[in-house]
Amino acid sequence: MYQSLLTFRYLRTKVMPLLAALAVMLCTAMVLVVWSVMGGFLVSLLSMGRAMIGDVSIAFPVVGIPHYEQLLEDLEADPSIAAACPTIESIGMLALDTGEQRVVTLVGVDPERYHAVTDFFDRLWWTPITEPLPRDDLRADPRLDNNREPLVAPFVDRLIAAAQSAGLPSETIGALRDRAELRAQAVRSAPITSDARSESAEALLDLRDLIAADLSTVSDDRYPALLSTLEEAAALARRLIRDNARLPRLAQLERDGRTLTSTDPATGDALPAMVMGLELTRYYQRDPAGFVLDTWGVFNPDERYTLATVPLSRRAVVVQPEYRSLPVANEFRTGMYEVDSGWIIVPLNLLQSMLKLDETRRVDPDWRSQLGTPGPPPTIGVTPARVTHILIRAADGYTAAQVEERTEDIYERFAAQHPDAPMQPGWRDFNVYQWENKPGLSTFIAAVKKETALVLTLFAFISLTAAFLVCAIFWAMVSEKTMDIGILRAVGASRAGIAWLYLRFGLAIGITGSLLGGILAYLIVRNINPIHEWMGNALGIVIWDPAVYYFTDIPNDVDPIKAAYVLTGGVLFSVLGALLPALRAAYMHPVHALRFE
Amino acid sequence: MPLLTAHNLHKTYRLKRTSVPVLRGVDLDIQPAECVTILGKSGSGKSTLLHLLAGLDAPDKSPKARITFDDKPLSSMRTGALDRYRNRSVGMVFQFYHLLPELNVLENAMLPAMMGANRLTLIRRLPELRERAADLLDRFGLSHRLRHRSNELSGGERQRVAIARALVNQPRLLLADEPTGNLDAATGNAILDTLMELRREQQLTMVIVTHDAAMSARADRTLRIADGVIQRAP
Repeated sequence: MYQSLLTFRYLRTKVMPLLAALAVMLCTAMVLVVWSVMGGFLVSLLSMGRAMIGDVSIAFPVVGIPHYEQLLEDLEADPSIAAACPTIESIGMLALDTGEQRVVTLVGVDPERYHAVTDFFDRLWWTPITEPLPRDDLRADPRLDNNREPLVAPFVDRLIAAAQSAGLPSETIGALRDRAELRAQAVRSAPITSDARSESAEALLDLRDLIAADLSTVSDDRYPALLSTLEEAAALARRLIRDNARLPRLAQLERDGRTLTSTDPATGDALPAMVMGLELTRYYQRDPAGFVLDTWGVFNPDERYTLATVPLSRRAVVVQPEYRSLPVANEFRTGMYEVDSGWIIVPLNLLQSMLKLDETRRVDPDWRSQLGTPGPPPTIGVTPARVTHILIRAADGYTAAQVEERTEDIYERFAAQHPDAPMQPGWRDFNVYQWENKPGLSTFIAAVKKETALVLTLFAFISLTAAFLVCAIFWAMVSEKTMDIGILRAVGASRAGIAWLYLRFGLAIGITGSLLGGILAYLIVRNINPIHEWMGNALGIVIWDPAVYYFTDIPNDVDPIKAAYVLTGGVLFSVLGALLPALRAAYMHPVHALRFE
Repeated sequence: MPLLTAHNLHKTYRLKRTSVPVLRGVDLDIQPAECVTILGKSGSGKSTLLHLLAGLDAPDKSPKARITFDDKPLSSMRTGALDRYRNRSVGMVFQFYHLLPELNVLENAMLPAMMGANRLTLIRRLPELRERAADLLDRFGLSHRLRHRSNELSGGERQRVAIARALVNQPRLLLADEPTGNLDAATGNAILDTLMELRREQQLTMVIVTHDAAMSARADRTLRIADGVIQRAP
C-alpha cells in the first residue's frame, strides 16, 4: 500500500521519472509506427499480388496440362472454388521501339475467365477516372475526364495577377480579363469529343490565340513575370488541346484491354494485342514529392512492339524461336513491382500457338522413311491443346489452404482419368501451391517479410536503450533516496517491499510511457500521409518514394494486436530496467542507508 | 522479567584492512515500562547499540552474544519476523527526524501502519488508522499541519511527527537516538514532556540515547557507554 502512495508521489514530484516515461513513450511510438507502416506495406503488397494470380495455382511449366477444360469443369464444380481459369506462362523478350529489349514473362489468358479469378479488368490502367490519385492536387493525371475546370480557372487568376504585378494599365488588364474569362467559359462549357474541329477544340484554339496575341502586346523585358505566366498559360492551352484529343481514346483503350484486341485502323478488324505491366514502359513516373508527372511515358497505343519466345519440347529442347508484332491494347498495374515490371498479358490462343501448345495432329513417325509416298503424312491422332497453369479463386468462406487441399484431390482424380496428364513425384508440393508460394513471388514476399522482421528487430534493440535509460535513472534515484530506503527499513519495510516499490515505479513509468507512446503512434500513423506530404513540400524530404514502394499512400492502419504487443513490450522493458536498481535498493544495508549523507 | 536484554554484544566495523571495535561486550536489561537513557561520547557506540537492539544490524557472531525481546532471541528470527518486530514492537526516533519529504504529515505518521497488513485489510482499516494517526498528531499539537509537507515544518514539529510515526503501531518499546539533539532547549523539553507523558499513560518502555543531562535526569536509570562497554552512571 505504501508503495502505491510513494509511486504516485514520486511520479508527481520528480522530473527524472518523467524523462524515463518520455523515453519509453518515444521508443514505443517509434516501434509501433515502423511496424504499422511496414506491416501495412506487406499486407498491401500481398493483396495486390494475389489479385493477379488467384488463391491457388496448378502449374506444369513446359509440359503443360492437356484436357484442361475438363479439369476446369471439375474444379468449378467444387463448392470451395469460385472460379478457375487456364493460363500459360513463359519467358519471352520484348523489343521496344527505343531499341531497348527486356526479358519478360508472357502470360496468355482468356480475359473474361482471367478476370473472374483475378479481377484483371480492375487493374487496367488506361481507363477514364473521375477522381485524381492521392496527392495529384493539380489533377495532372491524363486519365481524368474532367480536368479542364480546375486548370482553366487558376489560369485566368494567374494571368490577371501577373498583369497587375507587371504594372500594366488598368484598362489593359480589364480588357485582358474580359477576353480571358469569355474564352475560358467557352472552354469549360464545350463538350469533349474526339472530333478535332469540335466546339471544345475551337474554344481551346481561341484561348491559345488570345494568349499569343497578349503575349505579343506586352513582350517587353520589363514584364518578365507576366511573360513567364503567359508562357505557362500557352503550355496549359496546348495541354488542354492534347487532353481533349486523348480522353476519348481512354474508353476505347479500356475496351481493348478487356478483350486483348486492338482495332486495325486500315481494315477495322480486331487484332490480337497485348497489355503490358505499367512499370515496363516506365509510365508511372512521379516527381520527388510524389506528384504524377504529366507524360504518356514510352507507352503509345498506336505503336506495335515485338514479342519473342522460344517454344520448348517436353524434354526442354528449343524448337524454333517465335516472333509476333503486336499493338498495345492497354497497360495494367497491380502495385507489385515484380509483376508490373515483368509481365505482359496476351491472348491465350496466341501464346498457345507461339509455344506450340495448341492442338496438333500427330503424324506417322515412319512416314518419312517411305520415300516416294505421295501426299501429306498420314494423321494417326491429335495432341490436345495444353496450358501451363490453372489459376483458382477460392469461394467465400474458404481459405487458400482448404482450396489447395481440394485442388490436389481433384487433380489426382483428373490425372487418373487422363494418362497423358502430367504427374511427377512430389507434385503436391511443387505443382499445386497457394499464391504466396508461387516460385519467384515467394522469394520476393519472403524478402519483404524478412526486411520487416529485420527492421523491427533493429528498432527493438534500439528500444533497449529505453530500458537502460530507466535503469540509469532508477539507479540515480535509488542513490538519491538511500536515506528514505533506510527509514522505510527502520519502520518495518521488508526487502521485498522495497524491491516492489521500485519495480512498481518502473511499471508505472512503463504503463504511462507506453500508453502515451501508443497514442502518439496512433496519431502519427493515422496522419502519416499529410505529415509526409508536408515534409515533402516544406522540407523537401521524401522518405516514402512511390517509385520505390509502388504505393501512392503510406499504409496508415494501426493493428490493435500489434499495438498490444508493442505496449506490453514497453512496459516489460521498463520493469526490466527497474529490476537492477530495485534489487540494489532491497539489499541495501539499513544502517548504512540511514547514515548516508 | 526484562522486556529487552542484551548480553555480550560485540560489534566491530571493518574498513578495508582496519578493524574498528565499537562494542566490546555490552550487557543490559531493560524492564517493562522503564525509561533508560544511555550517555556516551561521540563514537562510543550508542547509536550502534540502538541499531542492534532495533534489529537493524546484527552483532558480531559469537555463541554468547544474545539480544532478546520478550524473551525471544532476535538472532532466531527470520527476516520477515525481524521486519515485523521493527514494525510492530519497536518504534524508532532519530536525531534528524528522517521524515519522507514526498509525504505529508499525516501520511508520514501513518507509514508504519500501512506496512503491517495486506492491501484488503488495510483498505478496510484505513479510516481507523487515519484516525489513530490524526489523534496522535492532534495530541502533539499538529492537527492544523496534517496536509503539510515536512519541509514546511519547524524542527520541533518534525520531531513530533517522527514520534507520532514511531508510536502509530502502539509498540511496546521506543528507541530514540538523540531525539532532542537537534533542537533548542525549550523545544527539547517540550518533546521530553510528551515522551514522559506517553510513557506514563501507555507503560511504554523507552531507551533513549542522549547527550542531554536534563533528559538523563528524568530517566529511571542512566547507563554510560565507554570503551565499548556499559558502565553504570555515577
